[in-house]
Amino acid sequence: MKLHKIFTIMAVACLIASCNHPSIPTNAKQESRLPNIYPDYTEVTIPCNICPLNFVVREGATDVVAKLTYPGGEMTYGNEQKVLIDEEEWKEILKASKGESIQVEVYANVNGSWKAFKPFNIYVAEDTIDHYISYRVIQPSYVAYEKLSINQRDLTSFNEREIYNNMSVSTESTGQCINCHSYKNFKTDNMLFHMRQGYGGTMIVSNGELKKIDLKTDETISAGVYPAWHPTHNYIAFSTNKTGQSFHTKHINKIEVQDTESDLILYDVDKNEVSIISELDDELEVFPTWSPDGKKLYFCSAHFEYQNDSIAPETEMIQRYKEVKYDLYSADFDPETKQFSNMEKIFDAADSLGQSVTLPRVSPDGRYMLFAKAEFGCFHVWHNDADIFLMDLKTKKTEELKAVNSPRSESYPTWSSNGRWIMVDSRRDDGNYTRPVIAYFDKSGKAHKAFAVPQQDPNFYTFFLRSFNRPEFMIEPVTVTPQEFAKKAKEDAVKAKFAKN
Amino acid sequence: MTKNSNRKPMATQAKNTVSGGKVSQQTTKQAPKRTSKEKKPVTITKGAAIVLALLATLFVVVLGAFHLIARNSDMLFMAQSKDFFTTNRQWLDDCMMQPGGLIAWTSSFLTQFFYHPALGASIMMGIWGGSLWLSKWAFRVRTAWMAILTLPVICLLVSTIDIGYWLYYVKQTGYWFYGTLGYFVAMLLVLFFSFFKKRMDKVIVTVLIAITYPFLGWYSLLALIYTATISIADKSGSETLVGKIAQPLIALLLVAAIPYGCYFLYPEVRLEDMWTAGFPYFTNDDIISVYPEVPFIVLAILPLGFAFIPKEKEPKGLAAWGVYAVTIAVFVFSYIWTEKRDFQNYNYHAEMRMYRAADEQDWEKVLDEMSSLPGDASRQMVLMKNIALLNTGEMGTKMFKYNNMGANPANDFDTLHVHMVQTAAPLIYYYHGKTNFTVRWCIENSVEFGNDYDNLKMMARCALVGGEMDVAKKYLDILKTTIYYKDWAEDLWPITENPELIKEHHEFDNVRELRDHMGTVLDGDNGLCEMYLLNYFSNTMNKDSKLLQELTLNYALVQKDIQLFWPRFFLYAQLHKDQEMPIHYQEAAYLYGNLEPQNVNISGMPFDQKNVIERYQNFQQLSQSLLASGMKTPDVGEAMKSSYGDTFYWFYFFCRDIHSY
Repeated sequence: MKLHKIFTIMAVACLIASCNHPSIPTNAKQESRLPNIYPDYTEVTIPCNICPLNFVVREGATDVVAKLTYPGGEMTYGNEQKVLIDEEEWKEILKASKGESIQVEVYANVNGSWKAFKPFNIYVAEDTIDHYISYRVIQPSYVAYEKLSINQRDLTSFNEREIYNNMSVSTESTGQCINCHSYKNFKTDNMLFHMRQGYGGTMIVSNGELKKIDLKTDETISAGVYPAWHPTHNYIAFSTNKTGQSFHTKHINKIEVQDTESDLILYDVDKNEVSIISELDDELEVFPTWSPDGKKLYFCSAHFEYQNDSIAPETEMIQRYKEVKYDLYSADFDPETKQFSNMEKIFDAADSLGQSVTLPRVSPDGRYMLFAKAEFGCFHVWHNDADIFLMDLKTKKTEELKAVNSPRSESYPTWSSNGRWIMVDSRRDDGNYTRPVIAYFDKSGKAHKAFAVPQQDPNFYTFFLRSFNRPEFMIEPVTVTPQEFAKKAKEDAVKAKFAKN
Repeated sequence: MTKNSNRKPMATQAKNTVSGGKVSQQTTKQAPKRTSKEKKPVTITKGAAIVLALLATLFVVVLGAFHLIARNSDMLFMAQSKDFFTTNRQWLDDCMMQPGGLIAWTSSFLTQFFYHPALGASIMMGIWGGSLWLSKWAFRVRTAWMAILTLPVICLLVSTIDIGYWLYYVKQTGYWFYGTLGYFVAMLLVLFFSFFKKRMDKVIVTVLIAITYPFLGWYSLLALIYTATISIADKSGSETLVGKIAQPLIALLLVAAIPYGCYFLYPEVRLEDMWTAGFPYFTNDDIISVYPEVPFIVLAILPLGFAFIPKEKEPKGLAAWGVYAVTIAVFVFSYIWTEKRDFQNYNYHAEMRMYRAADEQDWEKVLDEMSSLPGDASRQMVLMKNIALLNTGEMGTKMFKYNNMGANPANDFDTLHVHMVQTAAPLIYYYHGKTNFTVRWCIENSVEFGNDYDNLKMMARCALVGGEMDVAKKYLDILKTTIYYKDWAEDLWPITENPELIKEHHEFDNVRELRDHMGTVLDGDNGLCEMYLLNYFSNTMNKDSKLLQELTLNYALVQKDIQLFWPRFFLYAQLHKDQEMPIHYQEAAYLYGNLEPQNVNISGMPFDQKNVIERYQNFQQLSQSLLASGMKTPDVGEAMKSSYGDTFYWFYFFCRDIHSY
């Protein structure tokens, strides 16, 4: 056979395979329940610009067929146990379904006979979602670190690329940890992340210019840790922390991460100056976040008095770890004078509820605040009881976002730039590996059922042995290349100056 | 001249050559009229060359089989358990994050066959054989010189057997087959190149070879360099000087340029590493070990000379003798080198056998290994022995009958510091019921050295024991995609659906009992597994689990702490009423009662007269007399080892200065 004939046949075969629209089984037995699909996309509300919601049917079937019925049409998909939707066709489906819903009927061939499951809906919101998210990809962290990367994912497709990978500079003796990527107003011309140990420093992109800064000063506990970009000025609020880690011998939570010391600082990017925001005795201040107008700083703080001088603070903290509970505070801020005033506790979680509140994030319209809450501590990603709560900043009323939460840990909530989407780090799948989940937050302030960020292979999360940390929305991709970051990383960091208030 | 007349002298020559000098003399006898000027020089005929080539191939196979299968089966099994392969697309993507990803992926696929060491070794030797002949054809090396071509393969053999404790610290994905496959593919590329004679064709093929860099990494660059040497050595063509240097120049330029050009495709690779992507570095913390890298360096350099090997069809005279000499030298050198570099430390191999036996809960085999030790045990082996005795219920009667010394892990070739947390701690913690610590070190080690089957198995077990069924499903799901761990995963899978079924899997019984009766605290081991276990268990009291209680008593004995001993001893007695007190507990009670009579009055305790009281008195008497004679304490211990090395008395007084790691 001539070579070109073989290629033609192969091309046709590929074309047929790529346009696989199986027929609907005619003799299927109707089931009264929903199909067991993974990820769970039943009755979820999705953005009108998201990539296909591929899923796998976990019914022990040899073949499955899913019929998607949408305004003006229907389409079938099925590939063994998986439902893999063509990206171009999906765009058409979303376009037709905007503000409406897609009905999904799933058929599964189990032991030679077809079952038809109760149909479910996927609601397509008229609101779009930010094109990009970024996260740190890391093994469920203990002490060792080797290969870490901060990746950006295009939510409208399955494209993912690395923003920075620590292995681009790390050697055995200069191992590098990277963390806390953060963006100003969802844009990437002002962004940062930290590097620890080898080539340590904070990489700051300021108005597109890349800098490497050493934020540790003699007057502060540490370099900057948890960051928050000021929305209108070139300031960044950071916590400074002395952090330790210890291990549960048996408890399902496995790890406790505690701060034995913790303060807040403000970094003026243009002046390269660090100043103190709060360094109260017996207070562990952490997790700063700004209001959208930049006139208020919210943060968490735990009141903790060391009682035993005969042992190291780290040891006492380990012994009394359950006593560390964080409340929510706010302080007024004058961006012109950089002065903070009127510090007040806006949510008493410790004394009144016996709970600990962390990771506050204010909605882009300034009306709501999301935070994570659990029984104690600051590192809720390892607390199975951690859930996401919503505070109405007008009424100060809080409510649990039950549609977003699962029986396992939810932490690190964040808002999309239009405030219509919430993203949360969740361990709902297995309690050990964090996955980003997204939920619709409608105009009435109601959160809808959360769903996992779609992956091309619906089994991706099952086989992926790393976590997605600190998922953040971005409206544009990071344009600095990993190699440019690597080159800068090898340079000496510019030392930040300390400025007294 | 007819065909027949042509054949005759050839046959004679062949006969002469095979038999060497003696036959030459016979030939002389058969033709006495020939003068010395007419004597035919020793010639390596085509047939003889083939014999030499086959001999070289056979030599590689025999040497390989001897070192891999006969001597290192235990190591090869461990090697595959510390490796990972799955058909899932993610694994391929992970491998392709570095240049040479395709070799890494294929290597990890092949490494799994070391589950049956003979099978894996046969595959490896098959590829070596293939490489040997490919290199011959690629470089157009005359068959007679085949022995030289075995040297790169010998390098590959050495790189497999000399690795020692680096086995636990290797970071290269699919290390075990990486060099083997890399060299094979490099030879394949060079062979492909050698088919082309026209200058332009050669240049095109050179560029094509360069394009393989993302898939083959370092070995693609080596192939380019080898093609350059072929062009330089080629004396057949009537090329101009420009024509002659065009291909080598382009090849070398591509070697310089391709890694640089591809740098932007690989965010996780340092620019300076792009030219050696796929070359295994042996580094850990501040330790850089050159020894294990030597075979790979030699492997890379040797083929540079292949193109310059004499092209004489039938080496004659001095050249023939040269072939013989080189062949013998290569064989002798290879034998000595492999013999010298084969890491045959007894404990190193015994640890692996014990690990596998413990993993399979073959406790008798663990104890058999311990019994047949020729020297001192490593602390890892001592802990494995303790676990075996805990599971056979013989701690009280046999704990001190085995060697309890602490030989440090041997490192003949370098300065690698071996830590138990990187070798066997996950398994050791698991059998102590410390499942969270098992998971911790499995993850720490997979962060450092990549995922492996062993870690996934351990984490799946811990998840099942801890009732974390969803994460157990995850690990089992992954293992279900593998060839050799599929059945293991499928066997345990039903527990994830019905947790009660774990009770039917008795392999979990003791671990569950220990774990369930342990409290939970917040602490850490600071990377010292044994010290942590000794401290934790010797300071624990538990009356609800006989198993856990006995463990606490034994670790109190190991700690040689009298205050810790007595409460645990009495609790043991209380929990085992109407049962005979095991010999070691009697020994300890009698010893401590005599050493510190003010603490506990042992006069009413029913000690075994002959095995405890009389032995103790004899022990004391002998030790005192030896000490009085001027012997130093360690010498006294050594002198008394054969008579009393199986007692707690000896352990208490003479098993000292043990360093865990």
